[in-house]
Amino acid sequence: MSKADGDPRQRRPNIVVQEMTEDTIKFVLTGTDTSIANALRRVIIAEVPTIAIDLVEVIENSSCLCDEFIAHRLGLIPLVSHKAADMEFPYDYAGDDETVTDVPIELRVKCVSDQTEDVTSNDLLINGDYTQYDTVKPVHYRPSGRAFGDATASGAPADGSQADGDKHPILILKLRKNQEINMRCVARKGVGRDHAKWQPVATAVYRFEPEITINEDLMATLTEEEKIKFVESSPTPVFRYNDQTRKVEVNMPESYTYDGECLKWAEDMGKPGLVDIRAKEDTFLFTVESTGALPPETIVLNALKVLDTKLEMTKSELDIVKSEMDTAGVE
Amino acid sequence: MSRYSMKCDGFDQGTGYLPEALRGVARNHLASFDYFLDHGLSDVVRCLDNISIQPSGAQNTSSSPRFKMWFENISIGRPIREDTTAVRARDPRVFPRECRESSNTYKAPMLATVAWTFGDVGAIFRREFRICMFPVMVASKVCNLFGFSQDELICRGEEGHEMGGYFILNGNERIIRLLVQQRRHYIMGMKRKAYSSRGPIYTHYATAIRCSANDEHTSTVRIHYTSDGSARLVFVHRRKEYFVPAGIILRALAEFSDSVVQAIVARGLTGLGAQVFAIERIRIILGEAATFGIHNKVQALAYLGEHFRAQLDANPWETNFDVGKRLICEHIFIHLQSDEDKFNLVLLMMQKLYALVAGQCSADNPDSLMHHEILLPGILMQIFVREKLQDALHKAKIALNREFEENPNHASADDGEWLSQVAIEAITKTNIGRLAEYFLATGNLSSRTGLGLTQTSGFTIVADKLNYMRYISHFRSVHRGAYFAELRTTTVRKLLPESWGFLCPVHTPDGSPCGLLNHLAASCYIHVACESTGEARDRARSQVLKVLSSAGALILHGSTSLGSAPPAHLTVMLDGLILGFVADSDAKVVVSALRAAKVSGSNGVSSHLEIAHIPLSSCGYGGAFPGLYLFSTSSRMMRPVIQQQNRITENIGSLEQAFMSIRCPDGRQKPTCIAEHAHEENGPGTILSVVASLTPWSDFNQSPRNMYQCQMAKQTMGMPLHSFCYRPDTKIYRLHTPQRPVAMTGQYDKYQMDNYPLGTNAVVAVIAHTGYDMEDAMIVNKGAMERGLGHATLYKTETVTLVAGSDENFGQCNVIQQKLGSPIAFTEKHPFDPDIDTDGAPRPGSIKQAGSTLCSVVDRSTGRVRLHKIKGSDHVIIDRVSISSGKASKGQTETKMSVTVRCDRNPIIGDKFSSRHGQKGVLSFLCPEEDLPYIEKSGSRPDILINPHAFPSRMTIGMLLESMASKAGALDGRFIDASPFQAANDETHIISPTREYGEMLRKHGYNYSGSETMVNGLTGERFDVDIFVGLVYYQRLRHMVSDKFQVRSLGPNNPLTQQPIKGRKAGGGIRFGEMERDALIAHGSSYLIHDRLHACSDRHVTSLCTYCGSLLAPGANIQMAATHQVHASGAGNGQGRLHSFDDIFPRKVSCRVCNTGTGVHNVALPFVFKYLAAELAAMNIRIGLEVGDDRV
Repeated sequence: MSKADGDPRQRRPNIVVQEMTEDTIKFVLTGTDTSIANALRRVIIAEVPTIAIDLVEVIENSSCLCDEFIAHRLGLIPLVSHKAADMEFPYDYAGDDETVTDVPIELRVKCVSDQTEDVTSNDLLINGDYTQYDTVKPVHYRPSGRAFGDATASGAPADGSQADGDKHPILILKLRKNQEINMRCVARKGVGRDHAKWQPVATAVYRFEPEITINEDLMATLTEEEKIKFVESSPTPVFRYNDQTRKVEVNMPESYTYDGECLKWAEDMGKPGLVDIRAKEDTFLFTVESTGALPPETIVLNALKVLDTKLEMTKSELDIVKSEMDTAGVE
Repeated sequence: MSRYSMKCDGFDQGTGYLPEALRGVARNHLASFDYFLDHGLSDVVRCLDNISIQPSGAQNTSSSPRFKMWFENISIGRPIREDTTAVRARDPRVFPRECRESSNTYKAPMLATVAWTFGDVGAIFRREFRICMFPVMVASKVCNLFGFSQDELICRGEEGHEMGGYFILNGNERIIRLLVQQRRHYIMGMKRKAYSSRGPIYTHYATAIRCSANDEHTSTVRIHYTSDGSARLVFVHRRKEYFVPAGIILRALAEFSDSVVQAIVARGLTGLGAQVFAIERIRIILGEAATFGIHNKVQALAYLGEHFRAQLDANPWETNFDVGKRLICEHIFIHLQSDEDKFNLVLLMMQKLYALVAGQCSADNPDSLMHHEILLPGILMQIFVREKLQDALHKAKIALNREFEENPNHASADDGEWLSQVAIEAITKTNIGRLAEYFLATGNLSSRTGLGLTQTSGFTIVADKLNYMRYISHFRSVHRGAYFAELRTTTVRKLLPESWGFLCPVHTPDGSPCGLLNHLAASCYIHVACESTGEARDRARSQVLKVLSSAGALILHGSTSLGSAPPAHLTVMLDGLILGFVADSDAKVVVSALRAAKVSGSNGVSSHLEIAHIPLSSCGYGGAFPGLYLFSTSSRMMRPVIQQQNRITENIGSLEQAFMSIRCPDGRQKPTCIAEHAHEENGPGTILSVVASLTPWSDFNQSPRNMYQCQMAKQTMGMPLHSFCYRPDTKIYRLHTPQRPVAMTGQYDKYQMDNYPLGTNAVVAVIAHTGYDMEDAMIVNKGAMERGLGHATLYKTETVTLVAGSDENFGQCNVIQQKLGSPIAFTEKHPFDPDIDTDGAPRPGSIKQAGSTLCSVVDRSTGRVRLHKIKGSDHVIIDRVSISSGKASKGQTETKMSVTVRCDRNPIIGDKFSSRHGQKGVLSFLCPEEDLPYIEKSGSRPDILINPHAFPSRMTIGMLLESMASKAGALDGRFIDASPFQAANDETHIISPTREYGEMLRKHGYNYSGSETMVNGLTGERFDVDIFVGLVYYQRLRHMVSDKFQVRSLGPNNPLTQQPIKGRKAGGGIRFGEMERDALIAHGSSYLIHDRLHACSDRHVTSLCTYCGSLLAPGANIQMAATHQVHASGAGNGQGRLHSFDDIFPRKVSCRVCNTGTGVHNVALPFVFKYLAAELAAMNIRIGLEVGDDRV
């Protein structure tokens, strides 16, 4: 890992962020091979820690759904997980008082109206005692302010603002009149490998960048109509027919899905080799889409950290093995 | 309005009542039971004989005063509480939910009016009384739910879509099975080997007709052809066959000249030779009658009466002539009243018989659906009640006779009151309701006569609510009869073309009931007549006659003189009554006139009239016996087709269908070879049953796969019902996240399957990956499973009943403290159980581990505590506890606690899943999400991986199509119509679905053929080939490892043989049998054999005397043993067979035969061997073992 080695074969992995929004990031990883790219992808899915509801104590549940079912739904609500870094895995907890493993969350709703009441993630009560952990809350959280049995409060956010269309809360269950739920939940840190509820991403995927070369000579033998047909043969807009030059141009190579439709078309036309498409072996177009638990860039950074820790661990283990072998060799 | 509100298009919001298609499901059951209530009971009463008793002192003359008694009216009321006094404050009505929850029977009072006369006064006295409580069909006319809207039903704890059609017996829902029977009022030409075994002169030939009287009781009459040229008429009375020379019956029915009969019978045959043959037979038949001295009606009836007096229980004052008349009336063609009609029918039967013998017509196939009808639940109940009422009257008669014997002075009308009291007591004591309950609860028919049915058990089945499809198909199933299940031949199981449109060719189970247990096609129904007797029937009959005569048929007017009709005349028969004749040339005109009248619906001709015109076969040989047969009565299977000319829907029956030409759209532009079609099918899909019609694109699948799907659909977990909190079913499976399939058939919405869905749309990749998907195994995405794919719950209900009449009570020990005042402390014997509350019941919502207490019962007088443990090996959650008390069988109050528990049934390795195309598979691996192959384009991981080898041999193209189409539908945001035979229905505009959905995929930027470039999640490399990925609706089947796994290391052993016991429940082992042993021997793995069959089974160390070779002779020295007893009890740590007696007392054992211990050695051998030695010794056979040193 150190630069001092100066091995000429050593590659310099590089990340160029192409696009970043609130919940997605697109970047290009270059200068490395498939194993690293895949390792990054796997870590993002399975090993970036987040926080999710892990234990539910049911005090009252007179809804029509059973306890387990509600508990399962609660678990799947993505919680904002910035604090995951400060928390300890429950199975790593050594018993010292500084570290925190559990964040309590409560859910207390009773339906008093004749209308069906929606219980959403906004109804979850974040316990104020853990002030530093009040960031552990459902994504797009706007507390409904609906206390237990409070007839006046509605399901709308307390601050009166209208939740915008994209950021509606997550429905947990519905209640009819006089039905009530009262649950004490415990949110904990975990990784996606243990349960899908701890996955920080909806998807993390990389694609190989295609290298598309058009055989211009062969392309010239096509009629105008055929050229347009060729462009249309690909379900994605990989090629473009330029009206001015009357030539087929590569339009969006990254949209190519390796479906081979245009190659098939060329073959059917009796023009094999019309285009040549190859996947670049050292360039990876990553797309990471967050569930909202963590910002996408944090997910990638955390994943790299996890990867780094793993490598460090492997290295130290290898060192031990090596030193053992050395001492064995001396003897 | 909430943003999350779903579109509830399943509910019929407009009316709030059950939608038409669903009403059709239980229609046959409900309509027939309503008929039973409205008309059946009164028909029975009307046709029932009265009892008449002559006081023993009086003379045996017909004029002497007699006590006569009969039923005048019987009706069934609404279900109410039996003991109305105790609960007067409450609603007296009983609703089905209450019966289910308290394990009671849903029954209503049956009221009867008896009438009697006594002496010569002539005055009739009447009395109304309650005969019994009679079980009642849910949602029938007397049911308390009748006419309820959806909201009212839900208020009563029922399903919003409650269809009814079943009975509730002891809390169980049971359905009367539809059974196939021989078609009534149709003369069957039979050729059976068994007929020749009736006697030395009997041949294979006979004609038979099954007649049904007004009160629906049936009797079959056959005419056998005998080798001496004569004929025998056969009828059955009390399960015995009686053979009567046909000549006697002929003479008994009418006065006629021999030549007329000869002419009539001969007319049924073509050709002079055949006619002479028939004439000669008639001569023989009548000659035979003459040998008995019978030449006219009076002689014949008297002769019959004389011989059947005993069988018919003739009263002493009846003359032979009267008895003979009664015989004709009650047993010969019971559907006809007049002797002339009966006479005509005998002659027609003989015509057909001789045509059959002469080879001019073929024998009718008794297995063909055209000769079948269905035994309806209501009619079964009707004939059942008829017989039981008869029995009750008979019992009343016996009671009255006894009364007369004891007190012969009863003679006045005043005594009638008392006598009627005696009779009513005898009638109520019969308890018809209890008999009906037993019949419905067990399906076993205990009957004197057998009700003219071929089986005595299997009449009812449990309406299993495993899922909605299974529930529906119970109502639609038709069984061929228990008799045929044992039959070796497979001919009855064959799918015959005659069943087209009536029985589903796809929906029959594989295995032993294959072909015997069929299901009605979705549009097929069984006709239930509005009214069978009296004026309504006469009116309908006269309407038919009017149409017939105006169209040119010759009508008989109650005469036997048939004139000289030419041979080309067809007999016109309506419900077994010969109406007249029609010239063969006119037949078509008559038939079309009838059909026009039938569909017009204005002129009183029923729209359910079956018009079977069997034409004269062109060559005169080999075809079915010609005629124009009309049927209007109940029990016939019918289905709608379209009249091609005027596009009116006509209902046709199974007999007429065979002789009609019905066009079925087959996708071809021009009609096939037959030029003329009078009718047209509603569509090719109409042949399918409800369940089969829900398979998407079943026309693309290999046919057995569709059969498998019909099986598996019925084993799927889904949403079986909505009223979970009111159902005490022993097992209910519930899928937590069922979905509406993206691709479904048109029938899906028709039957509103969205209310009870049973599956989930899963992203399925067809790929051979990791080897965990070999042999129909499938890999499931662990992440998808954790997000809820296939999550399910099993609801189980266990019931604990208090011993009736004891002091038992639900509760923990401390209950006694309160009641008795004498404190019984929680001791070691009566520990406080924290699992349960002081009321003895578990806390709802609490989690119980296997083996913990479910319920505690305390006996208040003895203080004894009875604890009920949870059955099964997994932990459960208490869902609901209910306590009910009701009347038990012996009039005692019975208190029950039923505890409903939930078991977690989320998918684990070994659970079974299937698509809707007969492709089942076992979950073999829950693959971590990061390891799964993913689609390069979107990064999505499939939910399920299946192996491509599942397709080539099974050819379930429908599944591939569903996969593609659902994917396209999901991208397009709409549901896909996957109805079968779309190409056939839409003749002008045919696009193959592959093209349609391929283009749709392409439009959304996907591959035309549904494949995707995928990346191996383990290596990160692209696959060389594209993988077929799409959406398939997956069903989770109820077969789960949690219910099936069987494992043991140590466990209970059989006390006699010391071998491990069998049975999963008992913790036993799996049998390692001879074949398994052979396999190990073949492999030479002797250590393994030794381990399995000896060490792990009944290894036993015992003493053997090497001198005499006996296993039994060595015995311990008792004196020595006594001194070592302390040592023995210390060493016995429960593992008795490891520390045998001989282990503890080495060398102290001596042989009692050889009188020395020096030859006694310890050997290890199977305990059964020692047991065998002991058993043989008991028979004086000694086993001697030769012991040698195996090292030599």
